Amino acid sequence: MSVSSCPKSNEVMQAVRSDNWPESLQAHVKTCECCRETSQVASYLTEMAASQESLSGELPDPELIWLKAKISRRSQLPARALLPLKAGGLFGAAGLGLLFAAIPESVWHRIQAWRPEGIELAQLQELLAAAPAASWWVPLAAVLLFLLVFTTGEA
Amino acid sequence: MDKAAFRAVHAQTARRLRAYLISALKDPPLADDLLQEAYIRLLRAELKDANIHQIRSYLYKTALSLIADHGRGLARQRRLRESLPEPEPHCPRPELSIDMQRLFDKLAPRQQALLWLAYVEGASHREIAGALEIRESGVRVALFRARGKMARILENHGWDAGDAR
Repeated sequence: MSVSSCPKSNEVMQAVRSDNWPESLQAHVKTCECCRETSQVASYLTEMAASQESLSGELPDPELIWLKAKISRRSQLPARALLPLKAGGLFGAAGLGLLFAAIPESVWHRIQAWRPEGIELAQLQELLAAAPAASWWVPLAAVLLFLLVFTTGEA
Repeated sequence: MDKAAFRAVHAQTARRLRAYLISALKDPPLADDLLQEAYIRLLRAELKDANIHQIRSYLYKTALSLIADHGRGLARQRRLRESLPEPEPHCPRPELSIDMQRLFDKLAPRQQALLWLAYVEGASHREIAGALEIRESGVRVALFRARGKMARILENHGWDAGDAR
């Protein structure tokens, strides 16, 4: 595709804006397709801009815009500031879960080692049958607790 | 950007930017809303060491994006308007009739912004490239196409550039 351009197109745009057309430029526009289009489109848009700019309504007050931007920045600040805290909370919850998950196992091993004489291992196993269950519900409860704490803060 | 600098930027750019938004949207209250939003985003962006050309480029880029965001809603409104009787048109100046103003709608939003920046704002190719997020080398071709399209539309509707001379 050949993109035609004319070195005089800037002069044409200037003439449209200033409404000052030297005769030579007028003669050129009649013979140059590029400048004719430029003149046509630029004059239409300039007229359109003048129409819209002549609207009676005042422009939105820059003071008000400044204030709105300030408020908008402030309202975003707490959410942004809480992000590292939230990330820390999640890691903390996961770590705590792992810690709790490890406790029943270690306790179980200690109980086995410190088992008082006269108590059969089988009886003890029966008594502490629920203990291994702690390895899944404790971390789950910890995670839920943390999620509850951090999500209620947003409401 | 401090408040004094913002006031200066606003004074230099707001009138034309609002005229562009009204031309593109044909809805002055909505145009004012989007104008404010564009400036709020400018302040939030905190452009470092940006000159007025870069700021204007940013404002038009944001305005174009905001127009696109409203595109669906506007399309719905347009369909609704077409099914209703024609309302009294908003015509600020009798010189350019509302029908002539509507010819601008026949261009895609990006072409509208391109022509506006080139012929109303007198923006450089670099500035236009920044606003439309295209390569600087592509501006010339895009401008050629958009200008040709607009010229044909104007011709078909009897707009004579000689009227302006």
